[in-house]
Amino acid sequence: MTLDASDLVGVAFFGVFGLVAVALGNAWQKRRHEKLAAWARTHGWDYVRYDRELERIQSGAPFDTGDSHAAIEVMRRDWQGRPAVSFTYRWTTGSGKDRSTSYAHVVALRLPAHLPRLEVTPEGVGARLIKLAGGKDLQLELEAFNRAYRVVASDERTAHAVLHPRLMERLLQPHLVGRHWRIEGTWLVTWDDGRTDVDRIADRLMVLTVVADAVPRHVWQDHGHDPLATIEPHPVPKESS
Amino acid sequence: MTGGTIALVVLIAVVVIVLLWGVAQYNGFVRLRNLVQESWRQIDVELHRRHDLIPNLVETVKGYAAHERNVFDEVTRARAAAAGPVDSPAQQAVQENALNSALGRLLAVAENYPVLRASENFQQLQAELANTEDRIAAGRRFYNANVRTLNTKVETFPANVVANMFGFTRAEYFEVDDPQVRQAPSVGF
Repeated sequence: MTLDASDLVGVAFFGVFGLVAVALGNAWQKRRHEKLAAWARTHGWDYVRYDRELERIQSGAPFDTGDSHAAIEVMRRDWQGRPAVSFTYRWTTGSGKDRSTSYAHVVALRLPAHLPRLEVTPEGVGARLIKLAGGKDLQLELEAFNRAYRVVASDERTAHAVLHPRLMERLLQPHLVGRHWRIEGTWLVTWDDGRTDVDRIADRLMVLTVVADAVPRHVWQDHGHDPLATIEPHPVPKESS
Repeated sequence: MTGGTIALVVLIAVVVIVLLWGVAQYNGFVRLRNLVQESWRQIDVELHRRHDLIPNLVETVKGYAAHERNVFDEVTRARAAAAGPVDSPAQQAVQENALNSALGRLLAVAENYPVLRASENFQQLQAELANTEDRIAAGRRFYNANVRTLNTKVETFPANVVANMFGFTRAEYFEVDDPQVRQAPSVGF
């Protein structure tokens, strides 16, 4: 097989085009990292490009999909006394020509003790189809909440303790309704499709904080942690001599 | 294969399917009944925990308000009745409601004594009482959810056929009037 001049021009064109595309992609990536790092600095977060420890913080979506998982664009800080983290979760599906890369923006709060899995998902077409196919949905005493959310729990007793009427009512408020979240192990997590969107982080953390604050003391006690035991006593004022 | 044989095979298959379904339903009822009983035992443990806290609370309040004898007697009587043997969750709920009312009056008395309210012992007992009431409330929600599942199964067709055949009956809900016990827990928003 011989290549004539026009073929060589074509190969050269695609080669150059490929190199330019890679260079542009790298430049865009670098710029995005710089922008995120700058945003993190001004908002009190620590930023790193990736963190292998976060690749499998929980099972379930989005962490159980595809392969080549990576936690990139990672930001950490303390949020109202709890360690918080925001990152872009990247994974690939398919192979060869069908290979595609997906992203999710994960926001998570670290919990002081291991809790059993509890997942709350807004009731939508997807959740209804899953239920029709035999998927579980824990029924709680607030019917409006049952209509608005699907609840799956590995320990129903703990789920009933965490999802008490006051929290259910709170999660039905207009600014909180429709958010999915999951407790598993020492993480309380929420996520959206797409890469990190810094404008959403505070909103997501607010929902997670509402949930984490609502976990009753006795649930923590049953899982090896007493919130009251960790409160520092007020310092005793020194007597002036 | 003759028509009669085919009919016999079909009949046997139907009988086997019905039997398997019946076994599955029966096992489901047994599992649910055990779950209801186990969740009730958990409430019972928490109720005992609360009953055990009350004498300490009464003694602490007595130390500051010894002359409120009527209130102390009422709490002691209600506690004794609630801690005694009862036949059913509904009966237990009646006793617990009476105890809640008496406790409410005791805590109202305590409100009039600022030194008592500031006492570390009283604050600890109150926190422990609130925590135990949270536990009871969570246990009650879990128990009632299990009762609802069992009762729905006992009443709906065709599962009710198996329920009637083997004597599975409705369970009683555990309902309390006290809004604190109903709406707990005391968490900070």
